[in-house]
Amino acid sequence: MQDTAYWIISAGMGCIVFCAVYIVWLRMQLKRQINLFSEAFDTPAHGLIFFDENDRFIQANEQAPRYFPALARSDHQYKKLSDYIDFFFDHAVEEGDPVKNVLQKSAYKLKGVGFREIYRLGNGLFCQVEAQRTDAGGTVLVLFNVNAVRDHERDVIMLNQSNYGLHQAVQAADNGIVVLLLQNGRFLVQFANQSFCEIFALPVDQVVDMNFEDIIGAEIVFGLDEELVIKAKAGKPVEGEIELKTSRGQFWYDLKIKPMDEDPAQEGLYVGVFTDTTEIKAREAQMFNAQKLEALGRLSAGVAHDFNNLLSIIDGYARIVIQNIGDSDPDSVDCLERVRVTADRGAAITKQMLAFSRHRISSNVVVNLREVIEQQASLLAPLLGERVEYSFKCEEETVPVETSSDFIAQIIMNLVINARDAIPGPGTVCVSLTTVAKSDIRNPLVKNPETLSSAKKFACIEVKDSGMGIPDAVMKQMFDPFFTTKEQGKGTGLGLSMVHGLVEQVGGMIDVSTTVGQHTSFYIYLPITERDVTRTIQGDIENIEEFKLKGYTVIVAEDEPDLLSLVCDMLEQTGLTVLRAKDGNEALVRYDDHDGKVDMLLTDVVMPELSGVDSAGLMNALDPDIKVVFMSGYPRDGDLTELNLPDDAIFLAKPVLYEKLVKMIYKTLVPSGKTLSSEGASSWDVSDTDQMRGEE
Amino acid sequence: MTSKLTELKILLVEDQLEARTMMRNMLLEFGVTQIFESGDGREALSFIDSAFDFIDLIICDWNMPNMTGVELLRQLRTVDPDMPFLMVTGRGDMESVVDAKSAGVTGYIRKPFSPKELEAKIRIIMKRAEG
Repeated sequence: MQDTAYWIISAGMGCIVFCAVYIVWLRMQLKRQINLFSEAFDTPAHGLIFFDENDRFIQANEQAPRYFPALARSDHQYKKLSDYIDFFFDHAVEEGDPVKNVLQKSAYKLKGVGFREIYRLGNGLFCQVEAQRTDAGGTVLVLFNVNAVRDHERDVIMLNQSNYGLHQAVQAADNGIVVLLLQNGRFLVQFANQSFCEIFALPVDQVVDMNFEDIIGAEIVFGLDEELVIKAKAGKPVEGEIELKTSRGQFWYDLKIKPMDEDPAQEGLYVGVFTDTTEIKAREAQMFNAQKLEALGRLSAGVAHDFNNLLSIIDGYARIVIQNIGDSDPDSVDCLERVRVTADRGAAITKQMLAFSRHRISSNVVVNLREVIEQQASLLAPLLGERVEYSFKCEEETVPVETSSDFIAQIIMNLVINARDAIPGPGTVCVSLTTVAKSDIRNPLVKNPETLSSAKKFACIEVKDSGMGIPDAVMKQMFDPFFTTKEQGKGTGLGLSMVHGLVEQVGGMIDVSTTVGQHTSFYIYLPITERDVTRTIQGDIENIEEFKLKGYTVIVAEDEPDLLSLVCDMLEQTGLTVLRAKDGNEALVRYDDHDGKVDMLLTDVVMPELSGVDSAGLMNALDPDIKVVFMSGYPRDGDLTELNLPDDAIFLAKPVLYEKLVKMIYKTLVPSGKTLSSEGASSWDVSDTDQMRGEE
Repeated sequence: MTSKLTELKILLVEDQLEARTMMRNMLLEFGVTQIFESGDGREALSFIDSAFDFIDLIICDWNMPNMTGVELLRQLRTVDPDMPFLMVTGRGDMESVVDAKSAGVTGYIRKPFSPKELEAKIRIIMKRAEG
């Protein structure tokens, strides 16, 4: 029994405690809600006065007395809505319908705004009152300061102005800007600026609501693949590069699409920006090409250097063997002659390769263009054969140009051989030389403002053939290295590219006029100099075997031992006293050994310890009369090794071929009635243009 | 012994300060930095004695008050027959040259000379010494 009672009492107590806790919790909740409500009620800047469905006053918020001062008093007499309306009526600013009427006619019939009136308070403050129906069927009067409205209007105007500015800026941007709405898996254009419309050639007023993928899909060649779109649709920022092919040409754009919302949803607004990168692309391509050519130049110069040493040795020993064999074995001699011819051909190839290494032409040689071209005739005629007739005409006596006759020979040779190959049957190749004023040269095909000479007059070499002409497609590429239209093995593709390089080096220009099926003319413009033509040794040495140089002493300095002994062997055959040196220092010792009775130093340019140029300088200090001839596989004044030869240096390009070497030594050593160059310098070319035979 | 000009240790013996300075400047011009100087033959000899095998080349004037260049050379040769020795001289007569040669000179240079001439002479001497 007792137990039962105990349990009942306990349970009762528990219930009571629970109820008490629940009530406390409920009160707290209620209080919180009331607090929240009154906070919301009091927060707005507006004054609010509430009436029940019978138009009896219920409550006013904290701000209300500011706009209706009577409410500040606790014993105010304004109990009904009509009392308030009377007040507004009395204080209304505008004339017109009585406020009451407005209320009666509209306020109670319409949901929302019942009436609106502006009134003035005693302190001069202008206020506006609005009557609104509440959901409960009562009325609320909303009171506020008119000045605040005026401020608000001013804010709206300013906002509009700033919006307008932004809009103008977006429209004026060079980038194509488009705002897209992703809806049902489609990007719809919401806004597109001027540039975007221009890119896709769309009328500005029709672009809104178009499907973005329809706009760009048709135009883009490359770049905007499925993946990109899927990524964008997944709300991820997308960056890509697109190529656009339009009627105006080909353009490249960087494209970025990203959601405008920081927390991207599946659907929403996106902004797309197109940046034109066409020019950058073009520059990149140019740079890439230039780098490719430079690398090619370096490579070929390096190869050519070593190769020339080898060719010198091959040719030299073949010649020596030929001499040793004499007439006893004509067949072997014939074979060895072929070896020599091949070495010669190899030399011609290295020469072409070197044209790509960025070597400068020695500026102190002025050649008479007419003379140089005339000298080519004997080489050209056999090349052209019987079916093609060659002619050269020139009215001028002298056409002085700062260049080397070797380069002119290469230019003429390349152009004439191309001309020959363009003539299918019998035909003509006419070379003519004229002078033109720079101002008369209109839009040449090749003109590099960076290298173009400032000369006022130019020499114009025209090479005109009656061949089949050059199609447009070839025209665009013909100056590119390794581009050839000839059969495999017939052309290297370096010919015109080399001509281009040579002409640019002297600050010239190239033009072409062609009619497919009829003729082609190449015009090479070279700047005419005001300097006098450098006089070179006239006359040629007919029979090399007759030269005896007995009595002269030469030091030969060369670090390649085979070449050293070969060159020395060659020279000893002419009767010269030859002193051998492995490097520059040794050359000095040989000089001293011989008590300074040395006539000439023939030195390689690049040598270990002491270079050819330095040892020549030192030897000159000991003996100002000593003659110096430099030999190198690198072109004269080549940028690659910065040979730094003195301006008046005599330079012998490797490979060292016997005839060439002996002629040069003879001309350097043997004083004769023949004149040297007017400047005292001896910068002639003895390089054998025969080497050019048979190449493109 | 080194063949590089810039690494050479050179002893200049010349009693006239101006001439010595001029030669020093020439040497500096082509990169020699280890230059030792003396204005007197005896002093130079005792320096060579104390620093045996240290100097690579001696450049010495012929005419000096206490001890001439040739005397210095003769004494030097008794202790070091191979030391490269460049005699600086104002004389050009064959007799002097023969005299110097018999004393064991490795090279001589006539006053006045240019830096290039001096460099050429030094290179010749050093290359010879190298073998």
